[in-house]
Amino acid sequence: MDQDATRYFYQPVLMVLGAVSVVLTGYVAWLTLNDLSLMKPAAQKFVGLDNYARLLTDARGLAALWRTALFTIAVTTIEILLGLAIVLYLDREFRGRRLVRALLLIPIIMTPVVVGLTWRFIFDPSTGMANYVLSLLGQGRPMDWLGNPAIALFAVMIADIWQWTPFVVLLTLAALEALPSEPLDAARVDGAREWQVTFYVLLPMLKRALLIVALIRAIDSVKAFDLFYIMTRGGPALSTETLNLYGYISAFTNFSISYAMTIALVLTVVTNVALLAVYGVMFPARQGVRA
Amino acid sequence: MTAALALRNISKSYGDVAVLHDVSVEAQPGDFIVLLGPSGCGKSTLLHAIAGLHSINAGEIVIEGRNVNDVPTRERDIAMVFQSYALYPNMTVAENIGFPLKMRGLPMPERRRRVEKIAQGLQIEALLERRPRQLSGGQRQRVAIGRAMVRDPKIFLFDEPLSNLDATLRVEMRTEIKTLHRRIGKTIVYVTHDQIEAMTLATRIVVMNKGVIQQVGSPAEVYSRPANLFVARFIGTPAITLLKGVIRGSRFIADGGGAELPLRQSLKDGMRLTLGLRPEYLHRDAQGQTSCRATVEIVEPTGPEDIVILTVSGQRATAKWPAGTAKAGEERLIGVDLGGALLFDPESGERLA
Amino acid sequence: MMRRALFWIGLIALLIVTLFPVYWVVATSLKTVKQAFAYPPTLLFEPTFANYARVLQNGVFLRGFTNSFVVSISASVIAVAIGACAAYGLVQQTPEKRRSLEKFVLGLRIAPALIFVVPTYYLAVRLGMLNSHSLLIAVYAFVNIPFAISMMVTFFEDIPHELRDAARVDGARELRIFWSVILPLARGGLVATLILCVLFTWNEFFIALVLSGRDTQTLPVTITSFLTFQGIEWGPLTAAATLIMLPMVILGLLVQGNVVRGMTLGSVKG
Repeated sequence: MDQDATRYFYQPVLMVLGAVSVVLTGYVAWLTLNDLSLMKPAAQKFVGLDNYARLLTDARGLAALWRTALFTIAVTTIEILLGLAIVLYLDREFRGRRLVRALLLIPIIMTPVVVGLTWRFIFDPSTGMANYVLSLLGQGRPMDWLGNPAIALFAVMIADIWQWTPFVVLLTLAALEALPSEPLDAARVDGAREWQVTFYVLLPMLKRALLIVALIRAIDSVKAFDLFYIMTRGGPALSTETLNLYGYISAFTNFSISYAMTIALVLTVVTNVALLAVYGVMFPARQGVRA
Repeated sequence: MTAALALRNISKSYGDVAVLHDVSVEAQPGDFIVLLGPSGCGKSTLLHAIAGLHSINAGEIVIEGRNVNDVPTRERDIAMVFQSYALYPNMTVAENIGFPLKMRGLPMPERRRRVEKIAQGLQIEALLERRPRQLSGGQRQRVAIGRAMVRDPKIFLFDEPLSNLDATLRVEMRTEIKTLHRRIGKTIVYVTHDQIEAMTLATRIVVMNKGVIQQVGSPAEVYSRPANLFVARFIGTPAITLLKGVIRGSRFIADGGGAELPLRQSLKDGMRLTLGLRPEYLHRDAQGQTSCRATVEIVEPTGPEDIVILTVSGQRATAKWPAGTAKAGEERLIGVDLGGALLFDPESGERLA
Repeated sequence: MMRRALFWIGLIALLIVTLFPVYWVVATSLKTVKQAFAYPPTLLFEPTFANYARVLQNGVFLRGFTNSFVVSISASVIAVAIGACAAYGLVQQTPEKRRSLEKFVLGLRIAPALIFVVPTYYLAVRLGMLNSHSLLIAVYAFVNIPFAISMMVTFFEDIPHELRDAARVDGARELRIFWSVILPLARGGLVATLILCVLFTWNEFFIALVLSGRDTQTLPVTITSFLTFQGIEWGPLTAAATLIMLPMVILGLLVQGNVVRGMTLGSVKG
């Protein structure tokens, strides 16, 4: 009977959260079916699915979608691979291990806006460290990192990878430390060399953790905004405009809220679907008896 | 005959803490050596050192005449069954058992053949395509044993393999391991804290405490001729009765004055002594033997027999009598067979006679 | 020996790559204009606090700092208070129910901030609430609650179930158990969650960008105003950047292990 009392602890909160979410989603959906502008809030027309149709044929929007996908996949893959490599490199006893982990936290804790500014500073064509390092390595001409449409997106990627690879490292390290050590010892007894122990036993055991990290990074990459806003504002020539940014611009530069909401809603749905698909593939329903 | 395994003066410390202290043991081919002791006595560390998974600070590990101190684990030609079985979670049972062969470079068809043969011997062919998480404890253990057997190594190491099983299964698997040993005839080094396991399985028991070997001997030896108080207490169920007292003339006077027992051996007058008596040497009545008074405290039925906990001269004693012989609270005269008495120095714990 | 040395070299290289950008920002903030723009860049120099003086005398920056402070702490306290209650309730439920409820909480995370910020902005404009602290605090609290719930659930899980049962046998009512028995034990978790909420809110940009007015701008928004069209004043900018991230770095290092835990369970960036 006391069981019921604990219901009151969480039910009101979740109900409010749920209600607000539902109302919000409903409102957003309604917005997408109308034509609203921030310029003239009073005037509105019902336009049905026009906004969605517009999105399907909007070259700029589709390009933004493509860029978002490219960014997300590239950044997540690199962060996972690089992070894993670093984890395996650091997986040993050494003095100062705790210190290193604390230091690896710093990029993650930094305000993303500040990270954007930092890298903007580093990528400055005339005085930035990036070009200086390049010149030291023999590459003569300074690169216009953020001003060249062909490389701007990669510059932003570099900033994102710098900030979030430590996250992959720390999370994977935690997962690694939670793994049982006996199967690894068993492999050594069974005749495996260290690289074989890592490849055949360690990595498969890490698979689940890595996938979760990848999922988290992917979701966050799709929603990335701060870096893009600070470093390039979507330019030059729209070369770094992701879907999220496009939505923001639609709302606050072009003042067409409805279209912005359409973009946001589509983005959410597509992300959800993609996620579910990936989740389903990676964690298929298990057959067989559980011991 | 070259010893299958020789451990010479092995010492190991973690910082200031000595975990193994000058440990020396020899195992002949076909021996079933059990490392027995309480948690933290170093038995597991020693086993891991033999496998090469832990390093040692001093001493030699010699396998069939070959010093393997600097030989990496994978080249020592040993196999190990871990306490948690340590099966590879992402591989099927067949892949688990075949893994050592894969590491050796055997081609797939040959691996398959050997895996199936081993599986048949352990009666787990039906499980070959399953994954470890789908198996019960006993099944996982068989797979672990199969994986160890498939390489036909020189020495088998077992690290408390039965601890994770429930009581009935434990007894079953114990018999299986004993049968296995008889069948394959290889040298086995087995770690456990359970003295019953040690007594039933071992050809020789190595009793350890705090990193030091207390005694090495056959089960009969460590039972009837324990080297010191530690071994006497650790081995044997129900526990041995230990009476503290002093020698007067040719008699042992128990502290508390409630028992006087004549001793065969002649010892110094006034010397303090701890007298050890296994339960079977305390008889339920005193017909024609040395006797003493005892109060029955608690009776623990175990089926055909009762474990009877007595107070003799204010000290605790344990006997094993047919069911229903004694009742709690009663006073009786019990018989003491001093033929099997063990005499210990109370200070050092060493057995004197 | 050789392998050991190589390892340390690699490690140092990793640390340099990780920390150099941070170092560069801080270093630049301590340089004069001439030193900052020197090419090749100067690595050794006499530090000067002129930039910091400028920034700390800037009224807009100070207001931004105050706003960030007020909003972060208020929103976080509310979120943790509500979140802890909800988490406690959740932990007592059966595993199946919990799983579906937790998935729901997690699901709130996927949508980009855009989707709820724009309607909120729209409403705020209509209600004339755009330049108010309360709006920001309310929105941030709302956004932080799912995260606080997820985090506190993990901390409550660590408390043995039997404690609550023992208290119930002793006759305590649910609220009493929560307040007097469980909360004190979860103190560490509460603090960690609070600090993480403050961290996320302080660093948050998008919501602040849209929903803050001239007087309620938080620091991330304020600093963008230093990016003028005439060119960027890197000196004061880097000084401001350092001042923004310093408190958070200190706080973050205080709750080290939990930062990673927190980021797994729910980014509040929307």
